[in-house]
Amino acid sequence: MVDWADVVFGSTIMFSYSGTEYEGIFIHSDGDIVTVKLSNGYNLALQKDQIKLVKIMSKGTEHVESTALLKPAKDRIENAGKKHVSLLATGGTIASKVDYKTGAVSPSEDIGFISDRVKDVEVTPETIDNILSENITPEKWIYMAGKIRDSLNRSDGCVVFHGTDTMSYSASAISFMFLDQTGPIVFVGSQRSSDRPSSDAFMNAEGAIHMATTDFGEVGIAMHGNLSDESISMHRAVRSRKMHTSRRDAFRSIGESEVGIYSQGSVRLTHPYRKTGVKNEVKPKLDPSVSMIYFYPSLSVEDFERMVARKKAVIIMGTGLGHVSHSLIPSISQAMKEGKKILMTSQCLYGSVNLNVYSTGRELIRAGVLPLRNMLPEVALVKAMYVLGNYEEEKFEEMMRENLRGEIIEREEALVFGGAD
Amino acid sequence: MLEGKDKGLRSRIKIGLEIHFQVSDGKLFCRCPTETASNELFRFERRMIATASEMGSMDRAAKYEMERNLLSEYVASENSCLVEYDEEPPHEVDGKALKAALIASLALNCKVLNNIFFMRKVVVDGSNTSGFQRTAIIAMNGWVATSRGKVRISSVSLEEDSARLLENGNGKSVYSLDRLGIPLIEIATEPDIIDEEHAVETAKAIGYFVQASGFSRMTVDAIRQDVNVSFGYGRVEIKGVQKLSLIPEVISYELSRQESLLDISERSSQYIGFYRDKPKVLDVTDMFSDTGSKILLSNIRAGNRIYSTTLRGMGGLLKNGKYRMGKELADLVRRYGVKGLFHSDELPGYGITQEEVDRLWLKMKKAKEDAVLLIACPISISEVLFIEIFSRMAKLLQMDLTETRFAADDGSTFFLRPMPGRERMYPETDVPILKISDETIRTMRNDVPLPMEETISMISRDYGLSAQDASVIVSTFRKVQFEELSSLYRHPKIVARFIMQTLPELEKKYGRKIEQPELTRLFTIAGERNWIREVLEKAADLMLSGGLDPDAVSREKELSQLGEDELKEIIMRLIVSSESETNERNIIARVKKETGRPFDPAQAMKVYRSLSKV
Repeated sequence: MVDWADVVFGSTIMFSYSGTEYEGIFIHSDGDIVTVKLSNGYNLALQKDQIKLVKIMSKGTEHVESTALLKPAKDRIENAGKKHVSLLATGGTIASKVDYKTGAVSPSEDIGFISDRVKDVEVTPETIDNILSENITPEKWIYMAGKIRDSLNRSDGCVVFHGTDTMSYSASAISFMFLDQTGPIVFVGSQRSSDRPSSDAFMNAEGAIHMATTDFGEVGIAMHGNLSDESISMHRAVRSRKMHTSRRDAFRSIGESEVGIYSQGSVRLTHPYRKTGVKNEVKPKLDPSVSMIYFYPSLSVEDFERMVARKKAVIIMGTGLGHVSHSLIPSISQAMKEGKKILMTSQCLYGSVNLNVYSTGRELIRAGVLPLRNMLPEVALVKAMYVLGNYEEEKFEEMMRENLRGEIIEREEALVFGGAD
Repeated sequence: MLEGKDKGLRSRIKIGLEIHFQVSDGKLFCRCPTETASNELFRFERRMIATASEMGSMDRAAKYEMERNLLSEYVASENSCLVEYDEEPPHEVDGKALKAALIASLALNCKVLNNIFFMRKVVVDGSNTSGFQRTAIIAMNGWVATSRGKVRISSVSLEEDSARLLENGNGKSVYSLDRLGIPLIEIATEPDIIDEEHAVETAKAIGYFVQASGFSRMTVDAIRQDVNVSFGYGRVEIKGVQKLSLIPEVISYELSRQESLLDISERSSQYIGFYRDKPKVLDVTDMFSDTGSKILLSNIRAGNRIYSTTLRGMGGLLKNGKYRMGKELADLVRRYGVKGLFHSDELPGYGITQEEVDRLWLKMKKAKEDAVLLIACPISISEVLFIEIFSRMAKLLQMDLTETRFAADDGSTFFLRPMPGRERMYPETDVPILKISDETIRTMRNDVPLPMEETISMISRDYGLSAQDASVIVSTFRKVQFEELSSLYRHPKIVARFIMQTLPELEKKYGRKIEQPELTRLFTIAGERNWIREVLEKAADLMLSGGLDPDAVSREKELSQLGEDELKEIIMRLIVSSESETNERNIIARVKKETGRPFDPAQAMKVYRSLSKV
């Protein structure tokens, strides 16, 4: 008598259900449910007492050679002067593939679908990590910076594939850590996984790679700028934010328009930018003892003090122009006396904090709060880690105020607000 | 029924049906409505990638679509949202659609699954923005009774409808998203259907149960049939058979098409190897640099090349009419967006001269029994195109006829794509497995519709309709509509006559339709104001002729029924001033001529009788 426990994933089996015999592929057996794939492609998840295993016809999946999916680009330019871009994958893979026999989705090393779209650029992929972006830590950013520097030492530009959830955090961290860079560093991700034919991964990658061949000497994030596949927008990392949970144009530059647009093979850089330099200079330290507090009505003093304790710096996301309730001001003064740094940003995300306008703001200034103008809260968090990690305490305030990488906008663009096109 | 040359194909006929029924009121994976105004909100463009979803052998149909390299443009309609734009994961499955599918399954004697598992069926031609269609089997192993025995139902599935193609050409397809996501119940039968009439009967029987299970959408394109037919040479899937009456036509067309292919195959079997080895293709653009053919010239100017190849043994077999090999190839190249295909059976012609033809035959070494193809197309697709042409020729000559075709309005069919293999489905992990308990299934059995004959008797009895009228209403899937309107306007015989006769006539006259929501509103008003039949009919006329909505129409002066005094006045005038004498036979007609407004003929007759006595 054959038992479900003996059947290997991918085996062809005969089973009976509801009085009829079927041939199918065994997928899974778990608890009281057996999952099989019919010859018409559909999966059936049947209760164990409803399905009877008749025969195992063949064991396991045959090893199918993964062939190149597209014919190699015939008109690829064989040219020593071709640009060379490194592709670094942090999520374990750049691409996915689907085995239709079993329906399983798995990582793929085959980047033929990307290299075919960038025929005039040589691309070299490398997997540097396998981590979900929500699990990323400052240690990982330091590790990433090292890998990016190494890749820039051997190529003209670097594209980093990253999960979209924390991409702005990572890209901003890299941006601060690189005082100078020999090529563009472009982060890229996808909102629709790459096993889907509709995935934005392909167009995003195409745009990112082309951006990485320019002289843009900063860190950018390349993603769709609208719902169409016509163009890709690049945002300055330290002004970027994921503003929608699922849209492919979720990433926006806040307060300014995108710094670069890629369309049909060419890139247009639209804002003044730091050009690439002659060496890669990295300050690879980050001090993680910084917290971020999202103020809300009824936030208690006890909770506030707990989030401030044992931190060297605190980023507050205040309301409006940068306010919190009066009840917290004594705690802020106390924290400042203990040598902690309290920095103010706004939950509004758009616009600049200004503590001069209302009495609350002025009291916060007296308490020692440092307003960060229109710096994004998440960017402020990362910047504080960078400054604390690499500079003496006395220089902290001065450096936080200074516009190091374009994280502060001197002149906000009026037409760009709330993600409107 | 077409007899055709009897080569025994008919005796091997096997027919199966796949019928898709749209379910109304809400899309399957979002809360957008199925009904829509046709306003366009905006457009966006996408390119689909087939490649990343493959491992090892590439699925033939997907490869085919990818090689056609299409750009898709999508029109965002008012009834579409981020889910249809592929900008948001699917929401929960629509409860009404699921319920309708479950009830239909039980009505068709199927075994309902306890675990509903949604899959992604890869579709890369652009008709689904996500690159796949979400589909799940709801039930299996049922049957439907027909006069020729039981026809087995292999499965009942619940899936999303695709986007609606608006236009197609110049390397771009334009789709509207209004239809994308509308729930479809798909009923698939085993090939137990015996002939064309049986197919129609089976479709009607199945259609009755699905429509009676609730929430069926009542528009013209709400039911789509695919007919699967085999004469022993492979299964041909014919998609998009819009009307039941077309089913016999497409089957006949297919029979005669296959008979003619068998004829060709028998004559040309010795050439199969030639096509398998992929014949030579020559670039003959230079030969036509100053041709008089408009099509060739415009192609050359657009940067395309002219190619030619010799089709051995095909001389005389390409032209339309008896032998349709030419159409087979033309259908295929048209799928690549190529419009310039010529063959030797029709040349010289189309601006190509005898002289040009002679030179070409010489260059192509054409023998008498051969045909020559001339095709204008871009270099980029030329290699793939000819590989497809030769592989299709080899397939047809070997009578390997398995493929997917599309039904045209006249009953003919044209090649759509190679039949997809099984390798195109994988789990839709964004939708958790739905559990259907045995308890739920038991409860749903109460809602299973009665068999058609019982329903007909019930309608006839409960509404006082003749058996004939009840039968028409039920078998043309208008029971739900009839009952709804009769509940609003409590004159069932008038309702029956209206929906079976008056409305179709008016709609045909004005070339427009009244949609269900407006009909509902019209009958609500009619019920509230207790309109007579004539007023109701007049209202419908005004709605169609003037494009008015029911409320606007109800305020029209022209709609107000003639009162007693008005009738007296008109009839008096007619009696006195008519040229020829008025009598009981002509008075009603004359009153109608005098006024556009509706009136009660019985009342008018009474008035006439009382006045004419005077």
